[in-house]
Amino acid sequence: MWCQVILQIIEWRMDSGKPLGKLLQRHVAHCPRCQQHMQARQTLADTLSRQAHEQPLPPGLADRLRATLAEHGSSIPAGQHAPTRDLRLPSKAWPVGRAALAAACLLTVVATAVILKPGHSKPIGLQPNIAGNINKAAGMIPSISPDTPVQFAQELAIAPYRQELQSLTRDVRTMVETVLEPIPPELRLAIRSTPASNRSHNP
Amino acid sequence: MNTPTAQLRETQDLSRRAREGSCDAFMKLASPHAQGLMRYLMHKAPSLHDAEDLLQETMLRAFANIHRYHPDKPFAAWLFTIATRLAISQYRARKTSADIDCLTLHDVKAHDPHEQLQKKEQRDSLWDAAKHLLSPDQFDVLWLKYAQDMSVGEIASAVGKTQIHVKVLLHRARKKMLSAEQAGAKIQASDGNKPLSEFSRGETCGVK
Repeated sequence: MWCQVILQIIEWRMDSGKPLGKLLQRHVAHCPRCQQHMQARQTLADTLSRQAHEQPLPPGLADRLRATLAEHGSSIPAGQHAPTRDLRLPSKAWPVGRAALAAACLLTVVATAVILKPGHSKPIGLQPNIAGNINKAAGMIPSISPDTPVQFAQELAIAPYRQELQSLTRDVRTMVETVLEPIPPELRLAIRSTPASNRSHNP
Repeated sequence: MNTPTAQLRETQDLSRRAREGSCDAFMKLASPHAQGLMRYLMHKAPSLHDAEDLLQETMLRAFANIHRYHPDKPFAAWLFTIATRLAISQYRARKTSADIDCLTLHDVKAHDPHEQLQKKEQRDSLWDAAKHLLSPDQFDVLWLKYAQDMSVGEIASAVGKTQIHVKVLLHRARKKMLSAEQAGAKIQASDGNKPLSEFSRGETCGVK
């Protein structure tokens, strides 16, 4: 479980072009599974990069391209390059999509309001279970603030890791936000506003 | 010295001259990206000829719309945006007008020795596996990342998605590639024995 989180953070940081940092490097150095994953990732990247450039191109491509541009490009008068049509593909389904999105949002809000309605004597189907499960799951997530790991670091006198921990926390928060994106905002707000200590005691 | 500032200045100068109608300036601007674009389109188009047609169409469109290009942004990303949209349009057109003549024509084209060699090379490539395994979006971001060596920001501007979405697509694409037995059979790790697919399976970690 912990390695899965570490690997997610590593991929996130590497894609962002950020360095791994001492803590992550130390973990990777001592964890065979993460080492294997990193090695596999590197092998995949190298192979993809190499094979992409190994593909043979048709002979005389550049010449034909130059000839086409010289032939047709000169027919485009200077200053009149603008086409009448935008290059973005205009979708006729765009208004329909917006209407569907609005309907879905409305439905979600109504459903959430029904689920969270106080004094609902006979809840329908799995609704209380859903709400209970969300609270239970939320209780398992410790409430992380950017200062929490820093305090921890100071307690253990590992001040050199402070900057990395802050950066890691920011990354984790972004990742959690990405994961929580499909959950309706009302529920997310409810999860955040409940202290972790209370959450863990809730059924 | 070819510093980023000098490169940017050169790109700005070339794009300005291209905007005034200079075909040579546009060729100087676009030709470094033509090969990468052609390789990308070879995966998107059904045949080599179609890929080359798409490349030429992309270049002509880019030249005609050079006034819409902002020199501060990477030129390659802009070209790939045009190429991707053209490839999608062509795919839709092909899908709607798929007739027997077209199929026959492609059969004839397939007898071209160079195309046959090309198809064989593609079949042996990991990119061919990626084409079958991944969704078009995942394939595009993987290509731009590893074949074009673009940053996540550049990819996001090329495919018109947010950086977070691009990272998610990249992550899923890599995960699929690593876990696929097909990929595992084709690539071997540097120690020679362990297929890549084994690396993505859950194992207990000894480090806390």
